[in-house]
Amino acid sequence: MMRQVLAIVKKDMRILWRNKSWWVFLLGIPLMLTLILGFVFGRETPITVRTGIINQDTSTSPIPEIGSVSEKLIDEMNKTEVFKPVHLFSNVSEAVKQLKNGEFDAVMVMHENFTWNIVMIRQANMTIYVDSTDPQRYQIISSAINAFTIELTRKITQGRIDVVKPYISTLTEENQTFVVESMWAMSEPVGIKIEDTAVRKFRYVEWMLPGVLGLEALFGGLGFSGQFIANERERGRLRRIQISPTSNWALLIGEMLSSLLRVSIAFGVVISVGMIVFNVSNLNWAPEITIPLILLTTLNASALGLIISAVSKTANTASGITNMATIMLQFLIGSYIPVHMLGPLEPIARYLPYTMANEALRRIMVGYGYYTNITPLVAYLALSTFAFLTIGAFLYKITNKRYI
Amino acid sequence: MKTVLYFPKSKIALGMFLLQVQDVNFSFGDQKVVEQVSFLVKKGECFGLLGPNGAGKTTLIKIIVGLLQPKEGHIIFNGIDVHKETGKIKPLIGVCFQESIFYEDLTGKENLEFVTSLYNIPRRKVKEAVSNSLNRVLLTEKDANKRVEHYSGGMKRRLAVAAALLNESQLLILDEPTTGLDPQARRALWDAIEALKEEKRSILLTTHYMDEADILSDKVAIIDSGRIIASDTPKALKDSLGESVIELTCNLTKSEFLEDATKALEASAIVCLEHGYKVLTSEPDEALPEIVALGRKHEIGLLSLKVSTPTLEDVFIKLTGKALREG
Repeated sequence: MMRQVLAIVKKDMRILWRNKSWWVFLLGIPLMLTLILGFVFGRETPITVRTGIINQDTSTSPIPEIGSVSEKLIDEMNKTEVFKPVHLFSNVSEAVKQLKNGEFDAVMVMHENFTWNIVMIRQANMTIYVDSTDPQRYQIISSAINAFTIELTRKITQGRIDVVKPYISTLTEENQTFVVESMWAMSEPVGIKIEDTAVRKFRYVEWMLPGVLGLEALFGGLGFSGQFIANERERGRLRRIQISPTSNWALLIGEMLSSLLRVSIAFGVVISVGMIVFNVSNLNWAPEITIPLILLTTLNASALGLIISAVSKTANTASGITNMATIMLQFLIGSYIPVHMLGPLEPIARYLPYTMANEALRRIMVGYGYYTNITPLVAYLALSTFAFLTIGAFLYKITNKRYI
Repeated sequence: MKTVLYFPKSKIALGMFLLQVQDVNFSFGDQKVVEQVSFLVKKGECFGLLGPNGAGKTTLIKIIVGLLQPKEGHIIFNGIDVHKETGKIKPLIGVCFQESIFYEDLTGKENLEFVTSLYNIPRRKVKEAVSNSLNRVLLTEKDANKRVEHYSGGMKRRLAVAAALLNESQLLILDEPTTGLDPQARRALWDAIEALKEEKRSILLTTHYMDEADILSDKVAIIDSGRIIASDTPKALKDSLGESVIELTCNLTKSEFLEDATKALEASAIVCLEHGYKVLTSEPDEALPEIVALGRKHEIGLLSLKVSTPTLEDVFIKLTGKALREG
């Protein structure tokens, strides 16, 4: 049986080598997938908020050395990666019009007496116009502006404390501290400090790579196996094997093995692109765990493909079902959309074996042993693989007889 | 131990037969596809199963090789009950099905090498087996090294026969080997089959071409609607008619002509063909003037008249009242 299994693998590898369309599938898809996801989600350059400013502040600081706070603010913004270069407008309606046209992401209006109010410890007013037509962009811009205003508030508070300090120097040290702390408390009633517990700092592309490997296991396993039996049956080749002394099981094992080998090439592409293009080197590769895990995931997807292939009457039907399943599953398994964002679909998504596989891969590769407990995930994956293989083999046996 | 339990009432010596098919019945649901089929294939004989498309020939082949289980009946191959010990007969039979079942991205030779692994042919013998098979079907080394996607229909069929020959089987089954081929390719494949016959290979051939069955078969069974309606050597079948065949071609075929001809002629069968009629009669001299007169009367535009000896198709017409190609 071993010789026949190897002959099937050899035959498949030869076909793979010669058939260009397979190479597109095998190299093109993982290449494009990794590049697109890497560039879209894993970019290193910060978000740019194209900002227009209308400075209505004509006031001057009572303390001459401070100068115009609004102008200083514009200078500071021009030094940041996020806002530079800001564009100055003289009138609000023109700026808002351009914002609506999508030429700007935000328009900030610094109102009259901005400088005087800040220095005199009054409330200085600023209006920020944004457009929420594109909700995703709106979310990104809002986050950037919020971060900016928090930082601005802190700087202003520090400036005010610097202004006040000479006037409170006559107080006792205890009272001076009280005044300074009170000013900080008024500025930020709740002092929030965010502590990062990550073992290592990862870029998004590094976080995403294990998910892309999981996705490739799904694409490859399901894509390759989803059609082969229906195809072999439809072209009469299965019949030839059935009339020969080779068992159906040799064919099944040979095709599964081929599927694993083919998908391994796709994994190689994903990892190479990650390392060469996105300089991913920070991951915990742990090949002794990750390779069996990825292969188990591929086997799981191949077994699901086997079920689809066995029950489909024609190769076209098998192809249709496989494509539909792949398209749906790719969004549900947490490869590029976090599972917690899936709303009502989350409970379903959480119990998909490929979600488990992605989670386990991330825990190993990104978690660096911090999340050590992958046993339940792997056990679930292994059990579901066994179940899929059993069902697939049973259906394979039944339907082979039916469609002779 | 060889099983010889079947054909108990037969007086023939079963030892000389390689394949015994007895009282086989098979149906898909309510539809009977094979009914009470029995025949014997001798060692070294080319046995033809002649019948129109849908007659049940391929289903019968599937039953013989153990792919389908008959509802009733027995198939004994070389003393082995096919459906009790399917695994045992697989290495002993070579089958060439109707479809081209090759991997188009592989060369002819690579496809054959793959088949040798399916049959567990020892590695040291693979090269020789492939080369022998290719020679037998008259495919050159150059052809064998081309990818199958570049093969013509005829080359694919010859490669399929080569694949069926690889395991040096005791019985070679060729299911409609020349269907869809042009006359030249058919002729080439016939030559290859003739060469195999000279080697005294046992062959079971299915076809719906009467000339193919006539030329290649030592013995023919005519099958229609799942039943064998006649079985003998091609010559005996043709001689059994004892009649002549008048074939007329004309511009028009009319049902009135057919009705009148049936009444007026001493004919055992008259069938309407695409461009004329075929009349089976033992009195051709009397029938000819009648046909001409009827042709004139019904204005069918008679173009030619030909009197000939019967073919297997005529036997089929006589037995079923329809032409082979009508199905």
